Amino acid sequence: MNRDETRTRLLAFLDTIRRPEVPLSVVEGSESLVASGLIDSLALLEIIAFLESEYALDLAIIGFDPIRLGTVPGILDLIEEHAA
Amino acid sequence: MSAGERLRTVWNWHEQPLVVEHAATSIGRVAVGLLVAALVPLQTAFVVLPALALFAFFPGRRVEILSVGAIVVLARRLAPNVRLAGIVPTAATMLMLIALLYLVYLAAREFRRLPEAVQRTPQLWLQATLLGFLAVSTAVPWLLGVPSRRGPWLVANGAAMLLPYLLWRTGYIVQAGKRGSARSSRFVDHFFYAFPVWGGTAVPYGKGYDYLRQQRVEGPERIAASQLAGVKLLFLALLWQKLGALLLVVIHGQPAPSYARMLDELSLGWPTLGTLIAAGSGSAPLAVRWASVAIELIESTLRIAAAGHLVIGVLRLFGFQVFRNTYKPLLATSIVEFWNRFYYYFKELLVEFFFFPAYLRWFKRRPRLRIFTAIMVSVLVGNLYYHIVRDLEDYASRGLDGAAALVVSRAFFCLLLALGIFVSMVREQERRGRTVAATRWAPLVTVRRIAGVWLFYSVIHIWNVGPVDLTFAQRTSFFLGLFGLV
Repeated sequence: MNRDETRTRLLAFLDTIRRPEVPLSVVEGSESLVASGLIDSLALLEIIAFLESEYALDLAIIGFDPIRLGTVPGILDLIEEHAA
Repeated sequence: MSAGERLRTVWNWHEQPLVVEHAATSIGRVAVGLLVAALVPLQTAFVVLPALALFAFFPGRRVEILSVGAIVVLARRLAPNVRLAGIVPTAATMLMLIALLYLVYLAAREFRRLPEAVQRTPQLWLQATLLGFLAVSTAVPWLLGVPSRRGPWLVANGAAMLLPYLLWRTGYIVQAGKRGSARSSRFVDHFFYAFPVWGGTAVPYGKGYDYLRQQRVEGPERIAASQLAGVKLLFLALLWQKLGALLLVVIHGQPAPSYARMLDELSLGWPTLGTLIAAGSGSAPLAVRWASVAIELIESTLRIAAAGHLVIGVLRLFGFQVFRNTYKPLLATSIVEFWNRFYYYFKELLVEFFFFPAYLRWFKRRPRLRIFTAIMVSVLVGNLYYHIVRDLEDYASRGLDGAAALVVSRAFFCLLLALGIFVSMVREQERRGRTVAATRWAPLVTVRRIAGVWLFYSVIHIWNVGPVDLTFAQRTSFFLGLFGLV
């Protein structure tokens, strides 16, 4: 799966956990998902669960960095580097 | 422009482009310095103002400037008995602590070369090493029967006394090591937040290397905007501190400061919550007891906001656009939101060092149990651990029974908090994605939720409010008395 496909899949997932009043378009660049208001900090837990189930990432082993998990490019980099 | 918009513009004066532009000029910087001098306490100004002046001339050297300031902070933080012993023990203790920090930095920089067991659980190893040092420096002189306040033991003991303060700051250094970001860092990149010029407690306001690097702004205008945001927080800190002092006069009848003598006659003369708990349920009418419970929440919020705004305000003066420590917690509509807004950097400490490590390791296939366990590990175990380590000297001086009596109330408070956060988190997750219907009852629903949050936090605070000597039985009896059960 290339980066564009992964990105599409990730955005589709974020669409299911975002705040209804904030459009997905606010995080088109490297804006912070939480600071932009798209998701609340609790939703990070759901992003972790998504990465574990969809890409078999084990963040306990590869190291958890909330700053990295807080942006779309950061998550995509993480998937590219570590997905099985 | 409507009246509301105009009010918002005035309130957000620090974000106006024209103001920011002027603040970035030489005269603007002097004006910012004068405002800071007027707003911060003298002991803060003593370190902050010279550092700020240097930062204005050498904006690219802020880490080095703050590191020099850190040496002053370190010297001031040493225990009085070390400082009074003379310049040699003082310098030796400082050198010992700097060497210790350097070792932690080296371990973080060369993280991948550490033994695998350490790489797996670096925070556990760090805590064990530092607390081990604390235990040895305290226990060995006692076992040998030599005075611990003299010679090399004075130095070791003086250094060890500062370890609770350094524990979580070094934790952030190690965290940067695990993430790989410390690999290309210098020692000063970590030293400046180990003994921060911006002050604070054992909780690292502004966290550590990764967060500070992310929030650091560059360029005259962005630095000026950050400084103005800092000045605004310093102003709010002073405002909340004065308001808190006035509440003590008006509600509790404490002597009024000279500028508010007329309030002396208006005082309600109600005891503080701690005094009421000590005096027992029958000491005041039920309405006064309930009012004291609610007022204590407001007062403690003012106290933490004033202290946190001062620290974050100073941090922003040096171009670190970090989150506030306290952000309108009394308007939170859920327990978990209040927790996030009341004492942000303590919450972050618990989340980063306890919650996520537990969440990432255990019960991955059982989502509810996974969250429950992570909350218990962070809000109950982590919270208790933090306070025990922070107040270790106090606990040790009370003996086993005295220490246990302190722990029981704190543990019960943490348990109630953890249960409340768990229920609130689960409810928030269930609510996620749902739009709140904009009916005419919506404001009432919001008010009801805010009231619920107030009720929860003000009631559980009964087991947390000072003085610490209040027993669990006294606190519980007071709580039951609120419902006429005692």
